[in-house]
Amino acid sequence: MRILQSLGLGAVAVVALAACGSSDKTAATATASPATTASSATTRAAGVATTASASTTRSTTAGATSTKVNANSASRAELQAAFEAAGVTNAAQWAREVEEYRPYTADDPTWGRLRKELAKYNIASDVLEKIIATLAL
Amino acid sequence: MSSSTDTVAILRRALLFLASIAVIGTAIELATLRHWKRSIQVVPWFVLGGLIVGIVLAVVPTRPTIRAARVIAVAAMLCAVFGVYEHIKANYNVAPLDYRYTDRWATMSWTSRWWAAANKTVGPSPPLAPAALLYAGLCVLFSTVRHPVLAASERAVVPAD
Repeated sequence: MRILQSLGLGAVAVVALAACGSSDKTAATATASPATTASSATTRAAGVATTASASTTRSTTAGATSTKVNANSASRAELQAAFEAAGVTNAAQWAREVEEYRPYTADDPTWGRLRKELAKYNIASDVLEKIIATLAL
Repeated sequence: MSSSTDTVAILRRALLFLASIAVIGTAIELATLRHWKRSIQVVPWFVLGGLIVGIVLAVVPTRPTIRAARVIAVAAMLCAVFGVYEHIKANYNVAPLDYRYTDRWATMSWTSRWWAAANKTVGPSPPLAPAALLYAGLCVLFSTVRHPVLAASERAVVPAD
């Protein structure tokens, strides 16, 4: 019986260890991602003069995003093109991720679920805002 | 039935019980993660289905069912190893999306990049999560080791002196 108890404890430990790996990342990445590292690259890509603060970059980016694409119905190529136009680096990969987390619903006007999903990748805050600014429902 | 034989039978059932716990736990985890959005994410669901079949086969031991359970267990273990690789590769592929690595990922050495992907410094995929299937497969496999059904059939084909 003691052997059975030991085996049971071991099993629970292994399953718990294997399963818990997915949850810690969210907590780790939920912390604010300072836009300083990636913002310079993305700002350059957008053809916008380098600015001092992230908020200025965001507003400039939002203004530069002339076309919005439907987050639910746009093809991956359309998403990618829109992201590239908005100056998002790695636009192809982000288009794939945005496509993966469909569907997006109107009862989430702040794009909370998409923000949460993309945060798992440690996305730069300015890149995230550019992506959100490009999407519509 | 002797005491030792009885103990071995209990341990075989215990291993299958542990495999069942691993299968159920993994299924719950995959469901909460909605692990079906890409075609390759469906693979572990088939492995879980196979393991359930393997466990059932091992519970009703005959020579063919035990052999089939072994094959399923080995296949599940191979899929688990493939899953670990896939998770690491997925982390590797999305590493440039991480703002900390966007600029320097391309300049890092091959080993540094794979190590960062393998220890989940980059990417959202838990590298060792698929190992739960490896564990379940091992439990099924170990439950069939020196199974009396196989031993009896082997004795039957050995000519008596």
